[in-house]
Amino acid sequence: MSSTENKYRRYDLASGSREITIADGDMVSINLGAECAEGERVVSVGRGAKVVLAEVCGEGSAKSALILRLAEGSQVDMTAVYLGEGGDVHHRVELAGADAEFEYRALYIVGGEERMNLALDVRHEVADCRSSEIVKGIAAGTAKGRFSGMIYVAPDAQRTAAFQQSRNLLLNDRAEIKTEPQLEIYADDVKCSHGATVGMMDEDAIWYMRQRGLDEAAARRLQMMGFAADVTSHIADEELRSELEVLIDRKLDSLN
Amino acid sequence: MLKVKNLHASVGGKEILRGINFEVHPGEVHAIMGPNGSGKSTFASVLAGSEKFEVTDGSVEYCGENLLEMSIEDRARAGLFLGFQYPVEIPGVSMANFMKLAIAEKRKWEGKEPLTPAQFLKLMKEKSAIVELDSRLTSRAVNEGFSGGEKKKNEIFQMAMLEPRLAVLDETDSGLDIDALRIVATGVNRLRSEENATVLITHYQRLLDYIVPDFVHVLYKGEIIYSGGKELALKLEEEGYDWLIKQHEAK
Ligand SMILES: Nc1ncnc2c1ncn2[C@@H]1O[C@H](COP(=O)(O)OP(=O)(O)OP(=O)(O)O)[C@@H](O)[C@H]1O
Ligand SMILES: [Mg+2]
Repeated sequence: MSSTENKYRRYDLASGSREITIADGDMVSINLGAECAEGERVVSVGRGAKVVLAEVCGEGSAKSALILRLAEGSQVDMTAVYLGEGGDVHHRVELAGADAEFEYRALYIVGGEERMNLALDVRHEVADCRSSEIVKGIAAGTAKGRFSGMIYVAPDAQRTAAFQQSRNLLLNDRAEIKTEPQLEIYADDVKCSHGATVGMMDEDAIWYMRQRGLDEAAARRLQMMGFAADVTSHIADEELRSELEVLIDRKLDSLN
Repeated sequence: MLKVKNLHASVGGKEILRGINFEVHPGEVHAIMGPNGSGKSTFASVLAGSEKFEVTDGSVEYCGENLLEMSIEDRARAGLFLGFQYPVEIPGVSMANFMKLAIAEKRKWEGKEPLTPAQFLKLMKEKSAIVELDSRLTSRAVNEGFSGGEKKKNEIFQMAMLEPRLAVLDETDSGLDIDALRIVATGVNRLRSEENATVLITHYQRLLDYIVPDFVHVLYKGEIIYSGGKELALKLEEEGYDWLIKQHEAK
């Protein structure tokens, strides 16, 4: 991604705009802003267009309702990160033209008594589209996270490839993260998979890092940063990436 | 440099180290051998401060300090390095980033200025060359997907970066092919000096052909039952431990 980044034009989002239309063949990156917008937004991606989308929420409770429509041959690469106080996120993706491709990486961190609800609905309406999602959650305190991931494949959507992964890290045994995968597959020639894991911190890794001179807090933080890296390291926009690292740092600080 | 007296340690109520006496002076190389399960890794872990084990008796003095009262990280910063028998993978954390943090901590402890990014890169280059570590490995996540041999080389690379006063290398030679063994041994030898010391835990005489020890010790059931010079390793290779164990049990 980074090698092609300069070809992407930054799309300036008018404040409060609810409908975003990307012209056929356009290449844009859209930063949906650090403040999560209220209400539903629709992004329509024209034929063959390529879009890099970022939605980052650094404070407050996230409220995001987003609909993405992908026309034939278009590609959307979306990164969604929620580091505020949990929230409610509904993303619906309609793969409406053949050969459309959707890639999604999301990360949220919740602590205290925060709640995060992330619902992703990926709809393969026509044949020959691809989608792949990874959603990562970290929960501390008595926080709760929930990811509902729907993959819908319409009867005519043959040769669909759809993958979904949910990877979660609990910092104690009172925090909780649930994954609810939902598959509705009506076509028969489909490659589809989903998986979920929930794990605790790797104490052997903490021991290893401390043996190299990192104190325990630094070692724990580094491990969490490493866990988040699947999502953050894909962000091509360097400014956004370093901004995100600061936000993650601050969020992790607040967990203890 | 290191004085271990009557060290006892247990895990879950089971005693594993049963009165170890062991002394290391600057400039020395010690080899610790012994049958599987005799407590070699436990001894190394206890020295490095592992919280899995409980020290129930004895004392350990390291460079004039009471080692047993120091935290894991302070022991490391004070120059105690453990080369792990099973190096741990840390997904998503690059070797470079990991080493940057480790070096920064060590320099802070020593009251030195942090390295500039350029100095750090130069150091990485220099030290990875010593162990002929593929430079691509240093940009990957710590040990993730490294082959067995690469993991061991990576331990020696980290040792080269951190320049410890006392390095305890737990079976760093196991699983290495002949070339890798030579590279690892060369790395260790290049880091030897009059000020630092090395403890090699090994099953094989082979390593000791490359890194010649001043002393060879045999650990058995949590005790050092015999110590000798480098020729002891050869004898053990030929005759095994039986004769020593019999001799020990006769006492
Ligand atoms: N966490 C633990 N819980 C229970 N027993 C343990 C634990 N760690 C080590 N032991 C036991 O302590 C004994 C010594 O183990 P250790 O790993 O120190 O042996 P070793 O000499 O390094 O063996 P090897 O040559 O196979 O590496 C073994 O019997 C082992 O099963
Ligand atoms: Mg061992």
